[in-house]
Amino acid sequence: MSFGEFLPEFFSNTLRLTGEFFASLLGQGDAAQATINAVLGACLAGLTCGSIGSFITLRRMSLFADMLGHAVLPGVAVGFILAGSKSTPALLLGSLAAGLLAAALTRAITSHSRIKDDASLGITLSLFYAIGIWLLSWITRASPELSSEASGLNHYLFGNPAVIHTVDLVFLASAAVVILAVLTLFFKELTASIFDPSFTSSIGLPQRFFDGLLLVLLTLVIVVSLKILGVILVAALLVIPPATAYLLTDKLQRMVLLSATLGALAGFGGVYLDFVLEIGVGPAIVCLSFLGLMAAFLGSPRHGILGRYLLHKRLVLKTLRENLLTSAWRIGERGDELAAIPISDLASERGEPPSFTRQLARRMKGSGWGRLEHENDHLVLTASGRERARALMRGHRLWELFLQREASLAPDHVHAGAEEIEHFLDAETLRELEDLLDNPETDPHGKLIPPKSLPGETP
Amino acid sequence: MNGSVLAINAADLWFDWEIDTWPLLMALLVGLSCGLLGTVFLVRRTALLGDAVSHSVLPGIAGGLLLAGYLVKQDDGHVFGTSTTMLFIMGGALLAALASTMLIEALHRYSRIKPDTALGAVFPAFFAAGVILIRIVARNAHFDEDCVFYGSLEVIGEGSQVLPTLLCSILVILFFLGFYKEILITSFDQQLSRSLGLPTGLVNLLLVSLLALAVVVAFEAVGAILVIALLIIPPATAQLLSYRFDRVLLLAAFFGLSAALLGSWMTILLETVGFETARAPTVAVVAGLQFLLALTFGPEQGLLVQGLRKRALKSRILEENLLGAVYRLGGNPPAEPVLLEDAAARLGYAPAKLSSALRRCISRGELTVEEAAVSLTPQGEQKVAEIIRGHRLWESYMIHEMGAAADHVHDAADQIEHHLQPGLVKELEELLGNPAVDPHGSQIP
Repeated sequence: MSFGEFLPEFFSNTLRLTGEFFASLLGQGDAAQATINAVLGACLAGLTCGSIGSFITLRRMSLFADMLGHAVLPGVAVGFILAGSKSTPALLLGSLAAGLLAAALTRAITSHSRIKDDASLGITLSLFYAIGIWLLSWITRASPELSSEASGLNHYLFGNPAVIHTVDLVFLASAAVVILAVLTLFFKELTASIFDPSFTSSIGLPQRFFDGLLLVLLTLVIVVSLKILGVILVAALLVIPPATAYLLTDKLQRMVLLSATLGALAGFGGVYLDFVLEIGVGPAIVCLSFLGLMAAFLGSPRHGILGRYLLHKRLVLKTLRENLLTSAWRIGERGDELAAIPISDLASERGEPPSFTRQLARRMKGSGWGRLEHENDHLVLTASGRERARALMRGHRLWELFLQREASLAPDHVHAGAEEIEHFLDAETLRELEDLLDNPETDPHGKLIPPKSLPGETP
Repeated sequence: MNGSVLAINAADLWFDWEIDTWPLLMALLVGLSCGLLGTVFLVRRTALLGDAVSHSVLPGIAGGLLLAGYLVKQDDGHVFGTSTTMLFIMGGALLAALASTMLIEALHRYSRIKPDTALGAVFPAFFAAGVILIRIVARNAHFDEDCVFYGSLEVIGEGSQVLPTLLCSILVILFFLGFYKEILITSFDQQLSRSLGLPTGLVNLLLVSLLALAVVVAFEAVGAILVIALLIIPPATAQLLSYRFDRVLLLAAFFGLSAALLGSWMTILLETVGFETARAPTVAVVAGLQFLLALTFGPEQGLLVQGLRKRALKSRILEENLLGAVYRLGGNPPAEPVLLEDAAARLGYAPAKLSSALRRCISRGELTVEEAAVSLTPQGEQKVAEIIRGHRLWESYMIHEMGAAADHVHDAADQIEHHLQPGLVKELEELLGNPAVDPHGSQIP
């Protein structure tokens, strides 16, 4: 099949399966029920993992969560062997026990030997995982009854939506209710224990209790999400949506809500993608969430690469424009009209070739402070441009005076510092400078400090 | 399984070299190279990088396989197929490993995401992408999904399959022989190595590349995840037994080899008794058992030795306290015998608790008992005098040099009297000018 044939067929298939997917969400019958169960399960798991994951990542327990995810595997195997069937409660209890045991072993290794935290996580992870795989390898080779019963136990490695039954949903939902209730109830305490453990203990809250609480909730959420995501990928849903939310907001409350939403969305999208492309729900969920993280990493307004680049560009442009304003002010001070300044004057004041200054002056467009007029030969300042120029110069010269008087700098050393800070002085700082310097009129170079507001114009 | 235990053939208990030679060699080579490489990452405190790399080579492997499937139309039935396919896989895995480590670095360097979160986010994502790619590969080509988890040591039937692993192990050994000094210095002091002009960046890059290579060649044998066990556990076991880098390195290689050997052998033994398991996870479990043994029975850092040491210290403190009580209650020489009950009451213990301490002191000839009363022998007297001398000197020191109040020094001195070394006592004497009485006015022996 050539690429030209493949593409149209691919699209028509995708479209048809998308229709089927949404039809089965509303439909009835066994197949439809399986899809609905998968969607509900994945969304619930995403919601729960996302909300508790926020606390986990902030408490620097991301890798711990990863370890726990791998380490519950022997519990699944032992639960299966003891129960002799894939009874959900047995597997859940087994994995809960294995998770808590793994947490205890990790702590024991770090506190009783010179092995460091990360290595002890790696040891527990690989040891428990190996035991789990070892037991599974035995189960699949053991007596025919056991191994035929065990078919599908493999799906605990990646998760499988086809095995989400009502009983699994009940467990997921009750775990979600418990976890969300505890998070809401102890929100304040957990917040304190995450950001400032010593503060928590100093106000009499037992830090160990909250750490233990997080550990138990974490194990619980991993255990009930196993059937959807599998042991290797479950930690991803605990780490990736919270990390994404962390890039998008600075408030913990919003971060928790956002990451829960992102988790649930990824769950839904994952089930859909698997339905259409048959790539596995767990991997699809993880890849989707990771795409979200990459998008936030690049595009988050405040913490993303693009956002910070744009901010930087804006600052550069603002500085450039303000420097033109102060140059114009200096020319105006010498008695010329400040309304329209010839580019040639501006260029000689700034010591640049006029063509370069003209290029800079073009970028005044859109600032509302002024623009090029008279066949691009004059920079015309607006009232707000003149006002900004005055404020900048006032700040500049007050700062120079401040540096000379209070920091004892020589008059010929103060200009560079003032040139940089003039762009960042706010009204509050200016007022303090005025008070401190007693409303002076001239700067260290004997130049007039511009008044608080221009005559005839409202400040 | 069905036969009686007696029917087990002795030959079933040992390797059948016709079948087992290549799988055993494979396991040994993987154990050796993972043990050596893992040590470096462990002492650099980046042990989990092995974890990350072993997860994130998966999309590279699958991508290489997919690409090779289009370009090299050949299928000889092995997981990795022909040697050309192997090259594609190697290249893909190397790329994926480097891409994931760079992405982890970029995520926490250029945003507020913490390093551990970056690590925890990137490698599952790579792994998930790998799983998706493998599903796609599996539709078109022969690929055993289970081998990702279980490894397939058993099916290695000829030497050519071991060849890549052999080459990798030789590379690793050559790397360690050639760059031992650089590895050592860059692992412990990156700044020193930079100021010495050592190629730190190159060594780091080579290490990650070799790690990716080792993970890929181990992939077919032990699966994607179990390789972590061989990368972390044998080096950690070695670290429990020695503090020296060179010894840890050799021990880690040894434990990797022994886990491979014992694990393979154990699989055979278990199979004989009807407990059939896959070979690769057994090797990993044996590595874990070695670790737990070292953790418990290690000669210097083991839990058992730590516990014994703690107990010995506790009973020594008890004995010394008993001697001190007898000395203090007995008054100035000639001392009177003291009732054990009185000594116990002075120390705040039940008399029964002191009886074993008393027995030990008697057997060492430091105390004698006459009619239920205890008195010091000259030998015991000399020992207790030294302890009390330390105690009272320390009290003087605390008051004169640390400005502590006279009624606050006793408890601290009570604690430290058991730990004062002769050298320290001498220093105290010189510092305080050999005082004759302590702050409470008691004589310093």
